[in-house]
Amino acid sequence: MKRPLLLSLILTMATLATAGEPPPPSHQKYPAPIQLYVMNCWGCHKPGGEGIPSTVPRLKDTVGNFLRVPGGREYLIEVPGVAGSALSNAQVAEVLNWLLVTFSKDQLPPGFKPYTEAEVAKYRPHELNNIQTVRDELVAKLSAQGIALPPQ
Amino acid sequence: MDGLVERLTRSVAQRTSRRSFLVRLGQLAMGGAMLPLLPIDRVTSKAHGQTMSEGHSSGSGGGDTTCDYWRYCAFDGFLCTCCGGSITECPAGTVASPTAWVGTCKHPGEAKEYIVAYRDCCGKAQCNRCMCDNNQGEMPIYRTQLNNDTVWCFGSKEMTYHCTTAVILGEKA
Repeated sequence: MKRPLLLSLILTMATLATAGEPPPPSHQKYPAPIQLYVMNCWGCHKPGGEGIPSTVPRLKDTVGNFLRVPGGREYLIEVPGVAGSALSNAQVAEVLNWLLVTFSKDQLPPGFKPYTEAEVAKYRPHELNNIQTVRDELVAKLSAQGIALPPQ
Repeated sequence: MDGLVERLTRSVAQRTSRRSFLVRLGQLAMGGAMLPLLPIDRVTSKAHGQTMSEGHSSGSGGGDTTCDYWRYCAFDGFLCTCCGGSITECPAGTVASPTAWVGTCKHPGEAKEYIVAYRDCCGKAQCNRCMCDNNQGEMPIYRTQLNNDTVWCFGSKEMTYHCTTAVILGEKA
């Protein structure tokens, strides 16, 4: 009982002694797909995939729905932020599979098949000339299934 | 009052000895002497006080108020540390943008790279102090996600740029 008290006193004094030091940098290391997300997506889609209303599409509880309608699987590769990213096709598949399962598991269709590098390579060169029109069409298809997506 | 003090004194005298008091005093003194040996991050504090490179910053002083501070390797803008904020917090009267651009910087003295988020503080006229323009890893404007010329206030209600913070997100694996 007395020794812990003494130890806590010393630790308190140590804390006070280092209070003027700058905080040490975070040494957190992320597993590969999370690091890809942090370095390439996090800045706009936000830590939990929340997005920014009317500015950046929401991923959380949303993005998996696109795999439920024809054209949606391609769309997630063709969007400018993915197709134009600095990531390799393998990295795109890796981070996309991670975020689909992490942020939107409940919206994924039954029997969800992860993206492959070859699949990304196939869809990626296709340019979306009018992304809003394509998105609206996909949202309409989802709406017909009774699935409502937040406006973007 | 006298009774209270007497009871307290007797109670202490019955439970302790002069020798145990001396032992604990010695432990305390020894513990105090050991304080400088406890692990603290001296590398960071050394980097914090590194000498500013000539012509690299319009700021004065050292550490995170100068452009050659290691976290600023991909920085473009005014250092919030010179504008009433800190390296992680926006100055009063501004709001942190919900968006940030992310880069990596090598820590001096460590063979490690850290992931850094450069987040603009928005809502007041530009600070105009400690301009810093480092561009490690920057891509042209048409690769927007990796471009730091962009005013990263988008997503905020305020689009007026004031200064930029640099927050460590983690260690690059």
